[in-house]
Amino acid sequence: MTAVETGAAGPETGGADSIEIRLGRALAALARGEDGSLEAVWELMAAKLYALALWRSGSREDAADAVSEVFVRLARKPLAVSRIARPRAYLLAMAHRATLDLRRRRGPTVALEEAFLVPADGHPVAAEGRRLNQALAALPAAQREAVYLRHWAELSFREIGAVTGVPTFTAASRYRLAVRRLRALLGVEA
Amino acid sequence: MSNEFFAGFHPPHPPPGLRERVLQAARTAGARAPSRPLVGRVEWALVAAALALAITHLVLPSTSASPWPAAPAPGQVTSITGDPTVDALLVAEADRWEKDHHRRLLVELGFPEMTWEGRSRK
Repeated sequence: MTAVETGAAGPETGGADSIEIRLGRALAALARGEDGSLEAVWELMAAKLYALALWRSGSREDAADAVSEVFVRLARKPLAVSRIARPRAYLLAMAHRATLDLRRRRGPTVALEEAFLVPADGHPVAAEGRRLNQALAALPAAQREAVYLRHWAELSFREIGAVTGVPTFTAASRYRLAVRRLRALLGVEA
Repeated sequence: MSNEFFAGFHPPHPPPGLRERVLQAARTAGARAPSRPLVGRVEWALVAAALALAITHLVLPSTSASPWPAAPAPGQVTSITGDPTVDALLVAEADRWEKDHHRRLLVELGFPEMTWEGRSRK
């Protein structure tokens, strides 16, 4: 069993709390109407919101629209969001709901063609990357989303449940099923 | 799991141009959003309702006369129904028990013909 399965922190250990604090400050500045506060929120959260929406929807277009929806709502009610205790999880929950709303409005896609992961070195996706993306595309959207939130957003199962609106047990179950299926698809021993 | 799976990969970043488009849309939406008044409509409605209630309470005369007859006292209930109240039953039962107890005590002491008041039954 690896660190992620046991609930230990992900690859960016120590960063989550720091982002939480900086995001809280940026949202407070946004509520005060300070210049540059919206940009600060973008720098801290846009990549995570975009990736979450992409992993959930499987569509770059939906992901971009979901991020836009989150920032528009944020700009409309900055005071309300600045009072949230856990702003990072709250913004992720906003992106989750925006993505689901878009999927409902636009209907199901036929096939997922998106790259959920790209090489960190900037090189084109090679065979290994294609295989990994195909395995991720084969997962149910909710399970893929749970993997993203656990591994990349570094949320606890309780937070994942809060973000996606399901009980903690369901969030953990989705993650474990996703891991089992990824192992089977990629031919990796447990 | 996934440390070994995902090593060397990361989720894609937002596409170029999205930042400007989203921030522009957000700024426009923020500028259009009406500033929320300190006290909203619901709060005003609650305050008005509370004030109306208080004024009504002060202005209207308090009427103690009830249109319904007052409930009878326990003694009256007995006179109306003819049945003893629960308390009366308990008192009678206790009285009977006490007399039996005294009579048994006199028998044990060797004075079966006496009553508790000191008079002989004969």
